[in-house]
Amino acid sequence: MALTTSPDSRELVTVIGPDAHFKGDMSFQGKARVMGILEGKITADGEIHIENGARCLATVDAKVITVDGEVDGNLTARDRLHLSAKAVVKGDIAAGSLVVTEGAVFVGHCSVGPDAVSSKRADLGTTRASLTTPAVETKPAIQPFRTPTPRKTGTDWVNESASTLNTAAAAKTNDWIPQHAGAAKPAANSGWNNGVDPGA
Amino acid sequence: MSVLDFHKSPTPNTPARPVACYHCNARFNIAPAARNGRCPKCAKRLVFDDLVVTRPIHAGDLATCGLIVIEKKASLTLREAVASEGVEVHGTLHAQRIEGGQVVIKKKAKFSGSCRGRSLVVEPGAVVSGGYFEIGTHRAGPSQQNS
Repeated sequence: MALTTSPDSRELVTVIGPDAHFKGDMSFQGKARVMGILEGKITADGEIHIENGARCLATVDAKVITVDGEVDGNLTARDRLHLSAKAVVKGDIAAGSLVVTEGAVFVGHCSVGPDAVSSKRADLGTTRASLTTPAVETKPAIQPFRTPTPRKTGTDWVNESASTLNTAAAAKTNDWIPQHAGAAKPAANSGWNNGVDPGA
Repeated sequence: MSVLDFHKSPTPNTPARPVACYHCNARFNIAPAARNGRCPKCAKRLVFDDLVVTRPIHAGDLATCGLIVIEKKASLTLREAVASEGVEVHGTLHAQRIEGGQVVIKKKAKFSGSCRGRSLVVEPGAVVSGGYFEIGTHRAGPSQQNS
């Protein structure tokens, strides 16, 4: 029996039997028990129990995940993730709370906490958005017309640089900066040698 | 009772403490009061003490055959921590890599970094952010340490 729902039980549980090999995406509302081999993606609002001997090559997203078997894929548990002693998990984990029993094997990245699941989903959302949007931004073939800046005349740059220097050195002693071409020279005795010519 | 008898009086029969070398993973017994020594197999120096962090500390590397305990309201920021018996986080631990026997991240604790250990316990309420974990893939006590 590949995929059964036990009708006699009070609570409906979806079971993938030990002799089943399932490929594809699955979605549950309630509880699910995986005892066989499952490849693909599992999404559940309730609880998923991956039993001892089961093998999941899948991405699992559920409220509560209990792992007794082997999982090769990412696990996202909104509420709680329990790895029992015989669990073998290779993949990334995001969970509200995590219990790893001694003997369990886990290799991968781990995020645990109230914000871990939401941030993980946000990451997935951005990844999906980047997948849907083209990687290379296309530019319009015709560029909008750009008004050219007026070219500077021959003497504009002199006045501009002088005014820039004047502003930058306003706080300092700026008597040595020539304000313009006809600026007066600094006083001879204002320097370090008090106007005495060292060569004299 | 003579003086010689006094010297012959038996020492209290305290059980030896089993430890694992954090360089070569050799297991051997030490005296319970021993604080440091050398590994009988690789002859490297070892620290046997438990390291308890009670306040915010920035460190480079820490290594011990005992436990590393980060208490509540304490934080430990470091590059690498190796504790053969385990790491217990009640406060905050930021480490590039920790290796330990049993890694316990208590409730209200925060942990960031990569982790390698025999087993992992993350209590509800703890926050673990995104490092690489290897749990249960190697024998008790860290091994393959760079010499």
